[in-house]
Amino acid sequence: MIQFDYSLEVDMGTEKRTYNPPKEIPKELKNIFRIQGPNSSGKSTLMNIIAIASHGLTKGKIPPSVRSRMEELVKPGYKDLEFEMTISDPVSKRALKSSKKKGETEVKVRESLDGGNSFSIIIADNFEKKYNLIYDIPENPVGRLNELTGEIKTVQNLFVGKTSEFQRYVEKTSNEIGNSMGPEEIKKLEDDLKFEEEALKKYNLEPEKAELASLKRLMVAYKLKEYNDKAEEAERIFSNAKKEIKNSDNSKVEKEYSKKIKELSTNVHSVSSSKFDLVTEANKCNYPKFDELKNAMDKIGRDANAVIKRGGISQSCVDAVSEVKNFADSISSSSKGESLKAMSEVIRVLDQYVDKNIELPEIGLLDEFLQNFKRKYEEMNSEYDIKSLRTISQKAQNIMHQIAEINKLVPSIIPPSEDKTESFEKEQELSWLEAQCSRAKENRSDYVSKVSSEMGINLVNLDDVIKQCHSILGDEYKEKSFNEIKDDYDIKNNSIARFESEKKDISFRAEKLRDKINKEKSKQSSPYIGYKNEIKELQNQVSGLMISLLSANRKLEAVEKKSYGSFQRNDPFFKSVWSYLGKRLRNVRHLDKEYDVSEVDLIDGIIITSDKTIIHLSDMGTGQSQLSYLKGLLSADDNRMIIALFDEVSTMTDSTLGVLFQEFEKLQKEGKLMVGMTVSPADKTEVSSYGV
Amino acid sequence: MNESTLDYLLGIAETDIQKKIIRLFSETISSDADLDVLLREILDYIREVKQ
Repeated sequence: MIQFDYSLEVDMGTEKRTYNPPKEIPKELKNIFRIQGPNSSGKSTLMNIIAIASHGLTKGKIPPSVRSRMEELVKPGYKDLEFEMTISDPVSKRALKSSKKKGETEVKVRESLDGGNSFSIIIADNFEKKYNLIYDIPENPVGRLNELTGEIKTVQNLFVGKTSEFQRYVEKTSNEIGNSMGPEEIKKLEDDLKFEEEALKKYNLEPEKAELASLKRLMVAYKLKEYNDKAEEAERIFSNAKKEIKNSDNSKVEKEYSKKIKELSTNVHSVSSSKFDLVTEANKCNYPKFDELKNAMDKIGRDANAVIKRGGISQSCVDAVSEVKNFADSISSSSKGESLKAMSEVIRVLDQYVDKNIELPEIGLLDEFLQNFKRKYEEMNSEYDIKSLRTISQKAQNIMHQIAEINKLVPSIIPPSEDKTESFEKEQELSWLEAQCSRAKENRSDYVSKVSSEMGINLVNLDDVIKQCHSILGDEYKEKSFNEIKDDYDIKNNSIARFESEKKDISFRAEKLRDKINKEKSKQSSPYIGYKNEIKELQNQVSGLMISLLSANRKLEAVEKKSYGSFQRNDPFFKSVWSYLGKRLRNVRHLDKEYDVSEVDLIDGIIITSDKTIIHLSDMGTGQSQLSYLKGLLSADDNRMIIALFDEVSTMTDSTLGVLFQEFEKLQKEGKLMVGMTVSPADKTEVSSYGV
Repeated sequence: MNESTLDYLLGIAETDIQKKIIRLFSETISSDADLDVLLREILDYIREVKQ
């Protein structure tokens, strides 16, 4: 039973028209039916909707021109379709319920397996696995028989892919177990491995390496001792040389000379500093022999060596200083000088009572008196500054004393021996020894920081380390020199290196053997180890099958071209194709008789029947050809249910179509047909139903 | 796979072993076959026919 309803809105620009199922076509139909009717009577629209309701937009055997007509009904544009359709198969009790809303593109398809009690969505891929939708307009039916070979080409390509994948898998398995060893060969490998492992045990180089390390340690300790001895010796030599030079007579004279020169220089500088003050103060006191005093002072100078050269400070200088002292002292001790001293003393005392409004008898106001007294003192003092006179006297006294010291010192200053060459050589030697000493110390500290400390050897534990090494290596090493120890070390080192190399070779061989044994054992664990011969045979067989399948592809191309080309016409392959097509057609009606088809030879264009009758395809009527082609489409003998929609079967007579509907009914009884529908033109709409 | 298509493919195979391979493939045409199972089955078959 097919129940349906639809509404199709068509926008014509100036108006919109809505089409519904025509009243001549009932909204409930049997699953097998034929519609005849005039053009644009809605019969093809119904066929399109059944196809759309069966996922025909993406799946099914549908020519592109037909599918594009279906697409126009659902894609957004000038047409807008809404439908609901339920197809229930009375035999299998399967049902399909499909719907589409206006303005939407989605078509919902649901399936029921319990006679329509419950439905669930079925997607296009699953639908195709269960339903074979065939929608065709059988134009040029004879020519299109060729299309049936397309189906085997598709399957054949699928088999090429599967065979290729299987071939690779067989190859891989073969490689895994190929060239595998027998148990005896593996046992031999294991014996070889044992031998190598035993050999490895003999190469215990740890004691040798420990001895080598002790030798190295002893060498480093000896070397450090050597550096230390050299440094200590250099220091001793330098120290002695220094002492020797220090204690020599020449050195003492030089020291004494240097001391006196230093003392003289201090005194000359002191005189030079004092003479400036003396000359300045003398100028303040209007000393009448100022110029003579200044010249005498300038002659003294500041250079001690110049003083030595002149044999001291001249008597004229001493006289000039003495004279200015006498001048200052004589004025200071004159009555005027004494008066000024007394006045100065009075001013100093009275200054303490100023601003106290003190009135003295005979004198009157103290402040007034003191002011006048100071003015008088200033007037008297303007000729000789009594303070400067005192300074001159003191400074002159000091300078005279220092000059006496200088003149006493100068004769005692005796320069050291003039034999400078000897002194220079000694200095040179001393500095060379000093450099040697510091180089030796530097070498020692470098060796400690860069070499020995890394081995935990330093100057503190050096002797202990040497003792320790002697106790490990034996007493004979106490007598050996560094070079002898080094020779022993080199011999031992070379010997260890040789043993290491031998050991490495044996380890490498053992490792290779171990790998080989593991690989062989893993081959033994392969489930196919016992199938070596069969796998070899299978490789040949798969390879042969691959060649046959690829050759079949080329031969199918010849069939499509309707020419044997380079192939033999009696090649059994072609016969198998013709038999395949014969099975698809099963039977044909020609003239007034029905024949069972044995082969369809597409290259010669003949049908060979089971009774060996030969029917040329070109002699078959168009209606018969259409029928043969449609039956070929229906004869796909997989287990899918067929939804067969054949449009424009106009060239088939009622009796020819009758054969097609008999085929539909047969398939329906077998539970293999969901829908069988044909459409053909007529002046009047008429619906005929068949089957259950 | 329908029977006529299988017959056609068997026609391409030249030996019984190849026919066996085709038959096993046709049983798993719509799914990913376990190649190990296929291999074991064919190897057993070869051993059987060779004895």
